[in-house]
Amino acid sequence: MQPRLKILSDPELLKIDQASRALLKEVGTYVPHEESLEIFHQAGANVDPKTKVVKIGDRLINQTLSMCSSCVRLYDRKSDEPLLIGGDRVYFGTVGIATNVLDFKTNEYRQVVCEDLKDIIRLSDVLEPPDFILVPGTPTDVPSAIVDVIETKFLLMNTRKHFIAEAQNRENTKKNIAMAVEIAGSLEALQKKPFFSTLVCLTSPLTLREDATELIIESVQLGLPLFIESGPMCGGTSPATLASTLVMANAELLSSFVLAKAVNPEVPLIYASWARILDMRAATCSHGGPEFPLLRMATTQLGKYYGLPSGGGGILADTKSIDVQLGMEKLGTGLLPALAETNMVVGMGLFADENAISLETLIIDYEITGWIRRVMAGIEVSDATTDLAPFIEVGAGGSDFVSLKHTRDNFRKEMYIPTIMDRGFLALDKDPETRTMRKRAREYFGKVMGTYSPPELPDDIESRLDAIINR
Amino acid sequence: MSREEVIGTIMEAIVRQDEEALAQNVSKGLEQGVEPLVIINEGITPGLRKVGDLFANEEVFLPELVLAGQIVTEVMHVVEAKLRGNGAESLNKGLVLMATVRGDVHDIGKNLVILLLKASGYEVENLGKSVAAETIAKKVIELKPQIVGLSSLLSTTMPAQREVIETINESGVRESVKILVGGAPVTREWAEKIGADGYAENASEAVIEADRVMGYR
Repeated sequence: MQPRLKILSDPELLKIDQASRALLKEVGTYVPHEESLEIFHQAGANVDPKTKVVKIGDRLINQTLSMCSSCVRLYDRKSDEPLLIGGDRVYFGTVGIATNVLDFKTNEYRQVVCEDLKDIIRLSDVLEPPDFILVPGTPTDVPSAIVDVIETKFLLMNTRKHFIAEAQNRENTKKNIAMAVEIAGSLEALQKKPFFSTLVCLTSPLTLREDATELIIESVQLGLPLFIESGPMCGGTSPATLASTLVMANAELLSSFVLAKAVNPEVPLIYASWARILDMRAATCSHGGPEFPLLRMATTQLGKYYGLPSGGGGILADTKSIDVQLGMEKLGTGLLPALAETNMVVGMGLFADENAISLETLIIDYEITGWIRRVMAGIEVSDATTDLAPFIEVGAGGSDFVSLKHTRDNFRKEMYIPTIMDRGFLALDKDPETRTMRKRAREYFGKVMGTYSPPELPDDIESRLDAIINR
Repeated sequence: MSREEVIGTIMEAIVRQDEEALAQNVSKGLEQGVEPLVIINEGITPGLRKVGDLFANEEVFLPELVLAGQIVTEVMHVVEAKLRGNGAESLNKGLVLMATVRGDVHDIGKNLVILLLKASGYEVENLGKSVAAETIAKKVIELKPQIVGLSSLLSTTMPAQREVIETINESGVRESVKILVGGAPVTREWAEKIGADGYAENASEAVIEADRVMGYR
């Protein structure tokens, strides 16, 4: 049996579903975008042109949900086999709204530049997991109006894994798609096997911003997949109960799904959330406390309740340094969503309350996700794994099982073999700090990147992508 | 295949823990007239050393290190037979008495040391686990070993290593034997404090330390 967790009962899920539907019908969603208001109107929603509030009834929600697939196929440029997002599959990815990096060499914080983005994408390309890459950093040495398309260019040039791009408006969404077409060869080829999807961040409370709606419309028209996230802060941008935060996070996602499916019923959508709390002492949102994984397990269950592929934040930390708190927060916020079968857990590399990334934390997260995957695999109990043969071979009161062929055949399957965790014995005469996880992460970086080569692309690809960016 | 190539394949087979390839390449070397001592000193010993290094480097795992020790022990019989056939003296580097000290029943580490000592040409008498100091001292008088190896996994049983050394002192045979200590909590400082002749951090180092106290290196 593989260990799995649920934190909401079926009646509780129903209650949240009912409350979200009531919220969408009674309070509605603010949509300050004429084109979207028209789409909602045509789809059958109740639109108030003065207040720009859209109220959605049960029938439209049910119609929308009936158009959704329970499994989204995310392709990459490595193989023809897509990642299947949905059901019990769990994949881990990076995330990077952060504009700060903890410098590998100086151990000081500084702003992320393009070179950092390249380094972290390449490290993400070589490590497994991440299984996919959500833009893992925001460079500050390029104009902010084109930072998203620059990010996409770096992703296209430095990884073959599926990636999730950011786009801040319609124009940049078009540029992202145009650059991907340049790599794919044609729009048809990209549509057939989309090797990237686009991130949509919704605004709380109950708002569909103009840029988000344009991004949705532009991508959806072409049938390119969207990773849509709601991220209310309990007590700040949502009411101060975790349940109401779920009600709202769910309602926000459902309203965005209605818009997307009204434009293109076939578009693949992923139901994701970063619903979290506002820390009332620090006046900042927290991603490392116990509420975060609770909310993540709950939004995952809501996604499954509707039969949707799910995603959301995880493997996160509020701590500002690579310390004990980091390990505690990242394991807790990674393990619990994974055990709830969040299909796409995003957070690898990120820490300092969403504000920083580092190469070391990405490697530490690689270890954490490996540890989690082993837990998820559970204990195989079968005739083969309970065979008497090794007992007979060693006998009662015998020596040990180390030298058995049975041991050699099984230990790698049964035991997680860590990459950077220290399990050596306590060397009393040596410096206890010599083998810290962070030091081992640094050593592993050198080892793993020593033989890395980036994707092979035509010589003129960079200038072709730059031409699109500078249009 | 040149002589260097044959020796290279012997080393490689040990590193890969490939029993069949090791036996074949050792036979091939002997057939081609490569001296048994050259096979041992340039092929087998460095091969086993390499596996030990890989183990210390966390690239080879315990069951694989044990397998390497086992297949080397097997093939050493063949090489030694050839040595004796050539009229040379046996390779025996000396007799080692090995024991986990009183109160401690952990012997996986000690057994690994035994395996690597045997694979390196030592004769080993394994006294087992939780062995009393008096028993070890008696065996020293009876078997006249060159080395006594004492293992202790628990910090609570480390003092029993000192008891063994004191008991051997009292038996009047201390000068005839070198005493090596090891085990997870044991340090070189502790070894010096209790009057041991040597200490090793791991099984592979234990062989080197044995060679050192015996004057082989």
